[in-house]
Amino acid sequence: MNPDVLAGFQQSVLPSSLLATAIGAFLGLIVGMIPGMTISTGIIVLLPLTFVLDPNMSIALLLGLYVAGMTGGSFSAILLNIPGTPSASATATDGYPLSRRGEAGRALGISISASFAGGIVSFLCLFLIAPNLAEIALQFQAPDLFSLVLFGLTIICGFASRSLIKGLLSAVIGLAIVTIGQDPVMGSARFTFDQAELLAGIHFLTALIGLFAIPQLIDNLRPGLLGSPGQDAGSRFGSVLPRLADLVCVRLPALIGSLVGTFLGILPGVGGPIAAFISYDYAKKFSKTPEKFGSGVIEGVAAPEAANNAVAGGALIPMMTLGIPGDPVTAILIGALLIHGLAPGPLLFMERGDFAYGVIFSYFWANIFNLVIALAGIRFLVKLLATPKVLLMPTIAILCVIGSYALRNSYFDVYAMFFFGLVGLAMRWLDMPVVPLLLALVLGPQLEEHLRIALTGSHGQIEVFFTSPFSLLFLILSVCSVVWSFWLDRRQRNAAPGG
Amino acid sequence: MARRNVVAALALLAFGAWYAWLSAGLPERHMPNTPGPSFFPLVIVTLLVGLALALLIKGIADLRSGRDRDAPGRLSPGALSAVTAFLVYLGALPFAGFVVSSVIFFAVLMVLYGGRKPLLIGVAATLVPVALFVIFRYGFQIVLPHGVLGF
Repeated sequence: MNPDVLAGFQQSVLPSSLLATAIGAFLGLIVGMIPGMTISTGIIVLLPLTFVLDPNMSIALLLGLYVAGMTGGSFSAILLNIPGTPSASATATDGYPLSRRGEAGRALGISISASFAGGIVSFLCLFLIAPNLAEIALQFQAPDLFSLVLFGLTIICGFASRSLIKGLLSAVIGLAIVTIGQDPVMGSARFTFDQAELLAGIHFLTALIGLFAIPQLIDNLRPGLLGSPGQDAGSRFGSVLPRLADLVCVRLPALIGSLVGTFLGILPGVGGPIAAFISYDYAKKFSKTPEKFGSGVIEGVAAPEAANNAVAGGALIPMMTLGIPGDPVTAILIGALLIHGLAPGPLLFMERGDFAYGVIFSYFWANIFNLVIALAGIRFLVKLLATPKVLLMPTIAILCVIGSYALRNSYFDVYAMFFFGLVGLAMRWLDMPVVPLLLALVLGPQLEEHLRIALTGSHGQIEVFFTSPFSLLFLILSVCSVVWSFWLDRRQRNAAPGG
Repeated sequence: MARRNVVAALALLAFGAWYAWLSAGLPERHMPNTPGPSFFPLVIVTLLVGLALALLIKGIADLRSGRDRDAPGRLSPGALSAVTAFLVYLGALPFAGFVVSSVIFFAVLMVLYGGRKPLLIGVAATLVPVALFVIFRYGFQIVLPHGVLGF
């Protein structure tokens, strides 16, 4: 057996790592089920803690939150018809009617069990695919890496935006931001205006906190969103332990959701909501009673819940092996790892195989803790739905300031965080997606570095990107992705009323 | 939305021009046929200007065809107050320190988020920032902004 596998497993079962995973899972369930809180915000709030924890504990904590956040979103979807996370939107379709019929406990039990199934299937795929993909990726040269990063960027822009132009503009603004500071090849200062703080560039996490958290804090000030939505969620429900007959009944939809979710999770930018709706649709097509979908059937809960949890494991595959984030959460995870000097990518498996496998096994434990804590603690957790925003939102605001200040003990980072918050608000006003900007902040430095190294090596000959088979493949995929996004954009505009 | 798109496109074109001017002033590399520090920024300028022009053309076309049906989006008074409170808070941090400024900021935000009970606001606005200060400063050994009072 590969010694790194064993070392990774040992790291993941250290009491400190297991405790961090369990705490992360507990917090994730809470974050996921509170409407108005996203998993990204939850992770941002926890980031300052990870600065002082060792890398294994940090990633275990964040993975626990990521996995359980996906499940937690279904609680409010089932009980209140308000999805706690966008990924739980499809779950509400059948979950809420079940709840209205007095079968909330049954729906919650199926949701938790299907989430576990999706998580375990995607863990197996992660464990089997990631090391092999990393081995292939080790052969990539600078032109291949440039084309790969470009592909990651284009596919994300297309999916993340309702308007292709705005999606691409958002990414280009992100690329402009990463040029601030020292240039990655020669080290000369760019756009620093003789300010020492700008020499190190804009810290990715500073921008991230501002872009995500500040607009969300402002958004929650809308009159309709004030107060706590879960004041009537504490209603009684029966046992959440799923019956054997129900588990047998949902085995096919859960499997469909798990496989669809894992596959779509691997593709950058697809994300939980799309995977959940596609799985729901497939489960309906394969069902003997498709007409009952929407009226409250457990298959309609199992498929999307298995899918959105499987997306998490799928998204970890490109993150771990190629350093390409599959969704905003994995982009934040990359940032969290970079703080500890660990760069996700093929070299991670070669140089720190123990850590890479530790991450994979921590993902497994996160799914176990998610199942146990959700089943055992759901009655207590649901009461937290009544947490008033009047306390929650100011706490998040303060934690944003702590998080950005603690990065480098610098007021500059706090001001930069607020500036990016205003940028995020402006982008929301323009209906411009923030996700491409965020991903450009993650991928931008790599994009420039590989581009310039490739061109320097080829003495400025652009043909180098077309002569390597890997590079050519990624460039073709990039073009396909942009064309597809453009086609989707046109179709959406034509379908829109008056469009 | 069309009106907003035109405003955004013009702002981005102005930013693109400024960014291009700054990029042109960056040092060049003396090795032939190798990209210098200004290479990537100039690629970005090209993309930025191209996309901003596309957004401008689309916005003007939508305006002419009367497809601008969106109500002008404005920040609500609550949102504007929150942004102002945040600005004042960040300005006060270096002088008043984390605890004092956070207690006041927390109370203001509680009121903006609909808090109406003075006792609850007073207790929560004091306890939460102090608890966070203690947890991060003494629990996790993370240095937090300290003003003239030292905390």
